[in-house]
Amino acid sequence: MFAEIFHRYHGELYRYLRRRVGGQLAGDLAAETFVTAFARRGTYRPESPNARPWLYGIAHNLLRNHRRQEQRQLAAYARHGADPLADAAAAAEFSAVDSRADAAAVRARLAQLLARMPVGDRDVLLLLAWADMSYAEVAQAIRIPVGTVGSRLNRARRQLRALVDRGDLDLLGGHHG
Amino acid sequence: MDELTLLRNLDPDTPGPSPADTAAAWGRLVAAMDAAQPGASRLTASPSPLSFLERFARRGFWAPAAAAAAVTAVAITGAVIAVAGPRPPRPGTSPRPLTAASVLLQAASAAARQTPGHGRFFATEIENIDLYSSPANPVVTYWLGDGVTGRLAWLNGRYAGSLPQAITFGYSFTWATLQRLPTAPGRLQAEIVKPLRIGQDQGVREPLAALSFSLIANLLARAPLSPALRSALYQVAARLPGLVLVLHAHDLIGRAATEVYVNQNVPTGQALYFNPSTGAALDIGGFGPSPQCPSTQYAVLASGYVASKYQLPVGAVRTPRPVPPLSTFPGCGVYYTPPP
Repeated sequence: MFAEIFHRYHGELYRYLRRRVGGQLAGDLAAETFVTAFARRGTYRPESPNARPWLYGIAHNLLRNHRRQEQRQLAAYARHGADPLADAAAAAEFSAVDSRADAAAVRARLAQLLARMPVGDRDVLLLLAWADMSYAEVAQAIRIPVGTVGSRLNRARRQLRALVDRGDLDLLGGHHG
Repeated sequence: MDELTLLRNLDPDTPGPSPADTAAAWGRLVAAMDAAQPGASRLTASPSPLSFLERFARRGFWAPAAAAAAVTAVAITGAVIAVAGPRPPRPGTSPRPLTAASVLLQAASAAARQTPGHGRFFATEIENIDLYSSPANPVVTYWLGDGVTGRLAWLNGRYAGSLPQAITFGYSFTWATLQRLPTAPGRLQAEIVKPLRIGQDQGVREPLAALSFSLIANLLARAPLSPALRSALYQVAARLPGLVLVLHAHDLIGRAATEVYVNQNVPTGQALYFNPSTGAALDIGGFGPSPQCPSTQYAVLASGYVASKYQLPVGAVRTPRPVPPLSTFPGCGVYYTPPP
């Protein structure tokens, strides 16, 4: 069963961790998450509908030891507007167009905002946005009441709202709705 | 667009793990499984991945009812898990090809399972083979000392001397440094690269991957390593670009081995000969003017922890083993001439 868990969730967990702390550390943390999960397999509740919150909770505990690297990753987003380890050709194309340069500035401000945000608020926000979790799953992952998920999210969204209300959102493109 | 969508558009195309990343993570998980229950990862007795999972369920590893309902045939990607060798393919399927990375990860898994050793010194008996020079290939023994102040003491049978402070494999690692190296592959790779980058700043021209591989090979063959560190070194090696795998190779004293080297697109380089089933490093080999032409080899005859710098490791032979002459390697009897 553990092999199934690994193959089902390793890729997505890696991508989430890569967005949080960068490519070099993401591999190690993803691997460490599954090793730790195996060691703690007795703590998993079989009645849970899926193992994602449990796994992400373990990953978040490991992330606590790498806050400095997370800050560096966010600083890199703020400087470059993208993951500096991302494809160089795509990055070059991205910066070639004037309107996209504005989008890069918005992304940079977004990254700065994330870096300044309290850790608890940032964790809630990114589990919802990047790991596509529900409120209940976030609560289970980082072991806080569902109500606290809501209050932290509201606080974080107020800060993001200020960025959105500046009218820059159309420049980002990408997903809508 | 709402705020969460704004966030989702921050680096939305983050790449997933490479095959090497996945294989490395799987290798670590397998090592952990085996440490908890020896043999749990072996698939050779299992004709299909599904029975591998069934065996886990029978052994009491948790099998949530919800997950059990979702079990289907699992494609085991990445590293070769079997210790005794590749599994025979199921009828109607083609065998998954081995790669240098997967075999190195197999060695990593095996190394992690080895019993740690202890001692004041670590001795390595090596036959220094150079096909282009004197046919007399001396057997030397190196003692790396945790001694008085962590010094290296080097004895080659004719004189005893000490080299200042550092265990040197081209770059300096003291005994204490080796003890402190991280065993997480990413962090270990970052530590290994530091002295190599200094060398490059000072004019060393070889690519970083080749330098990294050479340093890792030397550490695997000649340094006192904990099982976890040995495993991590193999995992770092598995991440390097340009790896070339030679299965069913033999070293110059006739021992069967698996060979891996880094393809630098130049005719010379260094290869590691190792046993994937145990994680033991047998040789570090230089080649040129082509990968098919061995030039030098450090053949590890015996190694292990000893109590003094006069004690030989278990299995020491003291006399060199015969090697084939250069003439037996067609097209190899010329010295490598660097391109203009």
